[in-house]
Amino acid sequence: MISKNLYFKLIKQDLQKRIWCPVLIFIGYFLLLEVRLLMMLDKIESNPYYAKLYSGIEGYVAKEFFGTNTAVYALTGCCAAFLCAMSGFSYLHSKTQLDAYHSLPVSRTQLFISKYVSGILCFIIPYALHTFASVGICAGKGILSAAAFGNAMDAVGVTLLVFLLSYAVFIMAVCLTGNMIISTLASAVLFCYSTIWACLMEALFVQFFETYPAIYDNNKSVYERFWAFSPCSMLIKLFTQHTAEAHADEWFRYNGGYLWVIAAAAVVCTGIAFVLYRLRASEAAGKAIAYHWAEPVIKTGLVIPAAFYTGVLFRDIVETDSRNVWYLFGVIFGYLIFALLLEAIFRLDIKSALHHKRQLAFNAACVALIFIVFRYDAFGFDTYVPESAELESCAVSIEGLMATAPAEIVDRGYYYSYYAGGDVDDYRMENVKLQGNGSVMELAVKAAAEWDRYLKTHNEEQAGDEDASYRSILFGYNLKNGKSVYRRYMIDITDAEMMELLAEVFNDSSYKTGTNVLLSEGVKKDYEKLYCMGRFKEQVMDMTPALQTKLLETYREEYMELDFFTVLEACPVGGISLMTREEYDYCEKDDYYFSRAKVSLIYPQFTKTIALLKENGFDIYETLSDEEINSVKVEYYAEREDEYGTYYDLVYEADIDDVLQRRQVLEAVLAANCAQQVTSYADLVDKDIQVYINDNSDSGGLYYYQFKKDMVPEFIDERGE
Amino acid sequence: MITAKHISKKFDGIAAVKDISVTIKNREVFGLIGTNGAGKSTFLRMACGVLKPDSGELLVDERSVYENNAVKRDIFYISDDQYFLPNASPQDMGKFYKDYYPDFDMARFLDLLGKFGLEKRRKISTFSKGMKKQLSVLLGVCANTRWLFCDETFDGLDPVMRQAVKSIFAGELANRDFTPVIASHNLRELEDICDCVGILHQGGVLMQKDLEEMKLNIHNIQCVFRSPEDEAGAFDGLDIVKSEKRGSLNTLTVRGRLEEIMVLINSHAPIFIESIPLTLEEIFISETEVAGYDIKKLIF
Repeated sequence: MISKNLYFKLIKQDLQKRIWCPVLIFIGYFLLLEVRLLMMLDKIESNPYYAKLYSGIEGYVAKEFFGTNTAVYALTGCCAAFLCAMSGFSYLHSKTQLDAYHSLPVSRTQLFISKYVSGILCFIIPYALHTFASVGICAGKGILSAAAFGNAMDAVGVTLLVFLLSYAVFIMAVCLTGNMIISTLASAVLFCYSTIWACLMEALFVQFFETYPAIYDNNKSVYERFWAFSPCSMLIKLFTQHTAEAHADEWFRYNGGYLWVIAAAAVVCTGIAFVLYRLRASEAAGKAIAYHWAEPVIKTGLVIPAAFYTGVLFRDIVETDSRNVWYLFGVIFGYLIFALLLEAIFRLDIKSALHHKRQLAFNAACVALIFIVFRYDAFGFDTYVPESAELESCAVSIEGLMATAPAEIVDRGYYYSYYAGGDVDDYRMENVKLQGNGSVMELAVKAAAEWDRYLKTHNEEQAGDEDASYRSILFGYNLKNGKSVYRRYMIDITDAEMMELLAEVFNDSSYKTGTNVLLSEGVKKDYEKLYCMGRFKEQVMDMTPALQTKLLETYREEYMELDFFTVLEACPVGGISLMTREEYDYCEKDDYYFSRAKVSLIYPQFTKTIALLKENGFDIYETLSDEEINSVKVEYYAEREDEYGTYYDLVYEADIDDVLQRRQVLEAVLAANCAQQVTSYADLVDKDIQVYINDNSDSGGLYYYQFKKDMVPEFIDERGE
Repeated sequence: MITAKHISKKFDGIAAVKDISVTIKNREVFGLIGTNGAGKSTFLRMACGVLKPDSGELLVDERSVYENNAVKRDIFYISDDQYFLPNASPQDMGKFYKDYYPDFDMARFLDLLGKFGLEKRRKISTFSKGMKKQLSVLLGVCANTRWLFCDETFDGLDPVMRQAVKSIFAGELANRDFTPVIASHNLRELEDICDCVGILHQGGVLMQKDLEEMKLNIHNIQCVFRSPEDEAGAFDGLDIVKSEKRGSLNTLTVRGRLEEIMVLINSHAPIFIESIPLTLEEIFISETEVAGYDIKKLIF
């Protein structure tokens, strides 16, 4: 029976043997924590911009240093894990060391445990020491809040968890291989493998499946679709895909629920690493791969993505019609290079590149199969439309039609949105749940069939550039089996039948409640401010619960009556957006602005809403007085064409100084961001004329307007001619 | 006792050890002889638990050695390229092994270091190859294990050090239950130290013999007879392994007890008869030639 004392001795011996490892980690975290902390404190104290940005030094410490910077500490932890795994277990690659250790009266289990634990100590002792020292510095300076302390402890826990996962994966890499260089390569591959596949799949889907939704949210699209089983993908999920709950603390953002997945993965990987260590034959030292059975698996697992990455690279370099030929060349070239190279690396002999001909043939067959599946859409990806019986609900997002979404606040360098994702398509895919509307699936089937037919005679670029009548429509099929399948088609809006179907979808109450933020269930929270945007003016007014209830009711009632064809004929006259105190505070800061394109639109037909706003102090139609106008400038454009397509060229510009003419302009113009809500579907706006009005309001903006086609004042037309 | 029964080990499909069966008794010095690649190191690595045999059974004192700490506590293995901790001194290595071998005699180790002229605080990385081998042997002896496996340890030691090591071994053998197993590719290195020798060739055991027994049962006899008839009569009754005649002088390598051989030859009234001691090399040459091997090609 082995005593605890022996474990202690083994760990002590191991730490002494690789003392350089904790020393290196110690120095790394010293620079990253104490040194950087003191430098940043100095910077914040001397620069008011930073002081304001972080709401003071305390804010910086709590929100950033012990908050968002946790991702940096975790990444450093991954590097430390690599050092610890290599320094602790690379003895397996040396016959001399292996003979010495495995002839000692210590079992492999005991050796594994002692080396594993000492590796963790190599990391956690320096890291924890520096974290506590940083906490001490903050406490000493009187800038340590309870939140900062809590975040610091959280940071230690999260970083340790990330370290444990990476550490286990790197030990696996060491145990699977027989020399240092191959171990390092294997570590990189194991650490990133699912990320490599996720990115490759995304690239292949985007390049070969025309109906695959162009990425509307990079991270979400890639990492939600593919299984994240390697640390790199997991870290991306942890630090980029925040849950609504985690989002409440906007600075220290990580997906709290996902920590359990990482913990479970760390346990599983440690178990696998232990089994690989136990079963690893001592004679594997010096070989490329320690397990004979692993060789073909590794070769196949590396050669296939490598071949396709090379193919995609060649396809991207050559942007001509022959790009698919170059893609084929790239795949074959990549396959041959990597297959032969790997074989040579595994044999540690270039002459053995053709050693396993059967495996070369097998891998070639796999590559060919995947090539055919993507290149020729063997599984009918582009023509897939689920049966109605399979559907739970369907989400639809129509391009360029009332692009309203939750408002967002943007500033330099930082992005903060009220709603995770923040994108129009994202919002609609999550919120629109059409059920029992036969037109939806009819539209999907028609769109899929016609788009497929179109692609057989044209290419996708033509639909975007040459065939101006094509518009994109995104479908999210929420299936009964719990999966969601997304397809994006291009539809021809000159097809009356298609427009009728589109109208049926738009007029569906579920579509309206799902696309307009003010009509969603999520809007039911306490707001303190109401942002109103009129034809020429904007205003933020206080919101009372009574006003909130009435405004939402009124707006909902009128919005639900809005008809598709009315929308195509009318232009919005303004918009509203609700803000919580926190959101409003953000807007108040100098460096933030409120994205006005995302407001909920108000149409001229919304008379009750417009009246209610007026009652509460905001007249949506209020125009600018003569005194408020600094200048009015009209720009005339001409439609031109070149090899890149159609564009509008500025041919003439004129200032309007006459007061009467200015008033005429004000009466006729439409705010451009409102006018553009339907320009994709209805030819309402005169694109040749743009008006810039510079007013002396508080916001002091230079706003851009356009005319409705039949409302261009005569003198404007005359000047243009 | 170490008992290996039909053990085999392959590396990448190539047999390093093929169906070896060997018995190593306690308290005798066992020599493993063989050319490079004969399987000596592989056998020792299996015997000390570093490698696991692919097939067969390898027992140390009736117990399997692989992953068996209780057995491994009785074994100290000195590989042909012994590992020392980075930047370690002899004293550090002593402490290192003390953690694993509870009976490690630190005081004796330091004493022996002094006797062998090895500085206890000097970095081992500055030692010569021979000094490292001396240090390895001292560590092995002071670990006080019952079994000491030495892989090519004596190759490279100067004669004085060899003698010193031999005397240490002799002392250990006299005072405690101690069994060194020494692998070498040079038979002459082991001639004066081993009690029993096993010859490995191409992964298999060519032969295993007790040296004393061999020396008692094989003899070199030089004799001259009066007539060819006497010579033929004398030779008829002898188990001759090898014979050579120069002029009238016969040099015979004969199996059997010396007294009986002498009586038989004397009964044919030789003019001259004398028994000449055989070297270990000659014994093995004689034995293996009979078995059909040209041992000179194997180990010299």
